Amino acid sequence: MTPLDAHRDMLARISADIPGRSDGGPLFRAPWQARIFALIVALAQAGRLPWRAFQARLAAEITEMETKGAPEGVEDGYFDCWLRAAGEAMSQQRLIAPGEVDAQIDALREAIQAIRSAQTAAG
Amino acid sequence: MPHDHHDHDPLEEGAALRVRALEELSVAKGLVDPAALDAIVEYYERETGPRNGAAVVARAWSDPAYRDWLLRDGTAAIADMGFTGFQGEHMRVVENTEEVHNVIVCTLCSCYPWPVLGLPPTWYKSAAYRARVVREPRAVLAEFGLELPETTEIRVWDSTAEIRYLVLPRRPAGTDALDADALAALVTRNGMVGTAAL
Repeated sequence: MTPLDAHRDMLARISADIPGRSDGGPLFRAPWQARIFALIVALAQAGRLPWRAFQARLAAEITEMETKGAPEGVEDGYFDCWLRAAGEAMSQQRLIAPGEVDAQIDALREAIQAIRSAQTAAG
Repeated sequence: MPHDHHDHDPLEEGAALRVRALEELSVAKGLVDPAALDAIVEYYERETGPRNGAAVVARAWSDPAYRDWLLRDGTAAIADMGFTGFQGEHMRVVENTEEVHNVIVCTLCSCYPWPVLGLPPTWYKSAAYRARVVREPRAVLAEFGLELPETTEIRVWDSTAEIRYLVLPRRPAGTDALDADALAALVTRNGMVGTAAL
């Protein structure tokens, strides 16, 4: 299965899985859900992340979620799994080093804080 | 200019922040081409896409009672079209006229009425747009190719976690004969953000 077929397949699967989806509701409940979905597809298409490696991680995450019992809406839990699987698959493939994501998150927080401070000063 | 300080989306927290970090690292390391990533996001945009907003605009153009309702209570009028997906925030629809042109921004992050407009474009999230459209809206709009007469007042609306804006563009001339579907096809995302006229 090529990454493109795989993502179509995954899209169909997600669509089928999400309750309420049949009434034309949005597939993604928040923009970040679409973006992490797109990032994985882009990495797979660029040959950086083997689709199978990601899929295996995703399956493991979903199994774990289901074992624990999904806390809230399946749709939210599903993309939480995507996000965790993305981080783990990327580390596994050595695309990101340990601690790198947390450092980037800190940098983003600082940048946002700087914008807020500048606005408060200006306002 | 309507601009208060308020709490914004928890967008910069938790999942959204982590996704953004992963995205930035992937681009910085050259693992993905940002253009390719945008193209894929655009593919999904059609799933949540701006066509919902276009349907709302087309109905408002065709039905004066709906237009009045939409401007008075955007949340309810949009929900009437089946577009809900909002998480407690209100929708306010602002109408472009000959005298007033509206444009939306989220100065702190990227709050966006995504149930009607899909995913925000990259430029909407850029620091340059967020900062500049407030200070010099006329110049920013000109860069988008939208030259407004000096007599047109420009209003900038800052989106928050509590309230999201949608611009109701002016109906193009010569479209009297068109039905709602044909009208919706004329409505663009940028038209509903206010960075384009139709």
